[in-house]
Amino acid sequence: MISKDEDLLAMFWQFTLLSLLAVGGLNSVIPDIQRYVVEDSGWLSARQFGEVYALSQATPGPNVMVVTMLGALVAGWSGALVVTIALFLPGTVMTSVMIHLNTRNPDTVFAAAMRRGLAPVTIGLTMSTAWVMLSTLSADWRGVVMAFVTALVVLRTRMNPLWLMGAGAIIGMLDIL
Amino acid sequence: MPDSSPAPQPRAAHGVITPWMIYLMYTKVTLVGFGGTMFWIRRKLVDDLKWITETEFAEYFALGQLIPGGANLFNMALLIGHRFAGVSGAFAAGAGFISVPFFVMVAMALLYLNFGAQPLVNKALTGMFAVVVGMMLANAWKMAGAVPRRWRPWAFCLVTFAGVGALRFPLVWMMLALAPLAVGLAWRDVAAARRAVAAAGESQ
Repeated sequence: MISKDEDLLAMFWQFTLLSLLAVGGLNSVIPDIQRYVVEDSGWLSARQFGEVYALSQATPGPNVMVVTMLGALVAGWSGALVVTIALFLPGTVMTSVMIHLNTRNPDTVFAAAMRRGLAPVTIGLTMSTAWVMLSTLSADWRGVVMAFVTALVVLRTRMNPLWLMGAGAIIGMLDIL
Repeated sequence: MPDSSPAPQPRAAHGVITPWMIYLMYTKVTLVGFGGTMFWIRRKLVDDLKWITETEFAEYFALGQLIPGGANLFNMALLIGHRFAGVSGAFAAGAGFISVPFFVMVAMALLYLNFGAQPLVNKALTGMFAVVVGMMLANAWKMAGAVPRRWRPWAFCLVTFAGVGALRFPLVWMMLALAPLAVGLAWRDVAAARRAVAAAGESQ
């Protein structure tokens, strides 16, 4: 838990920076959020971080607002508010600039180059997130097996992810994990 | 500000759209949207309300993704809100996206603080976490299938993975090193391809 104002400010800048770097969505910066919250600051354990992430995915609301949960856990209401503003501020500023400049054509050379050039980087970041989260699980081989089985089910069927989460919760509670 | 539609389209059948309607619409879709908010936003905006067309949705989505900032769908919400009700519409859309989910997330955090360590809850969360990791693996696998079968995109993809995932280099340095190079090289390709198309058009 943090309480000092300068810590909140540091957290604000950290999340603003991560939000700016999040090409292709917040999921791509999860490894760095984990590093900041778990390794550098020691606010949560790697396992708790994973639990909170899973909980946020099962909670109604935009998935990116997992940072609001993290902020609330680390510093209560003010923490939640600070990281939420940090998450949405860069996008708000940039979108306002775009609206103002009236540059809404997504088909300029620059826009096309951004999409095409950054797409492989985004995919590399998605792989990184999966890898980092998988290594958090790896203390328990049963969790790893369950993750791979889930991946297969997701790839082979069109099952709603919520059912899978429910199944995961039940299997966990039955102490099979 | 002129009409901010990405391209001229026949107007969909709807009356005047007020900021309040935009606020309510976004509050609803973000709360229903477990797992995949985008799916619900598309369904509401395009299929149910018919505020925008399928093509417009795709264009707004592409634009929202292009703008930096962790929440692409939030950027898209601002654009759509602005399109229908100007600055107050953008505010309404942004507020709808955040306001109620903010309290829901904080409430969940409090529940986690109080009950997260209880054995049964904790075991359920462990199981859910394994499922979430599996969903991430599937996602990464699907996305990897979309990388073009050429050496350069794969090089960028694998260098990013090795740097950020395996070696855990800080993202800032990786992005400062990789992003300008990736966009610059792609720029050269795109510009060359368009020149070729233009030349082919002239020679006909």
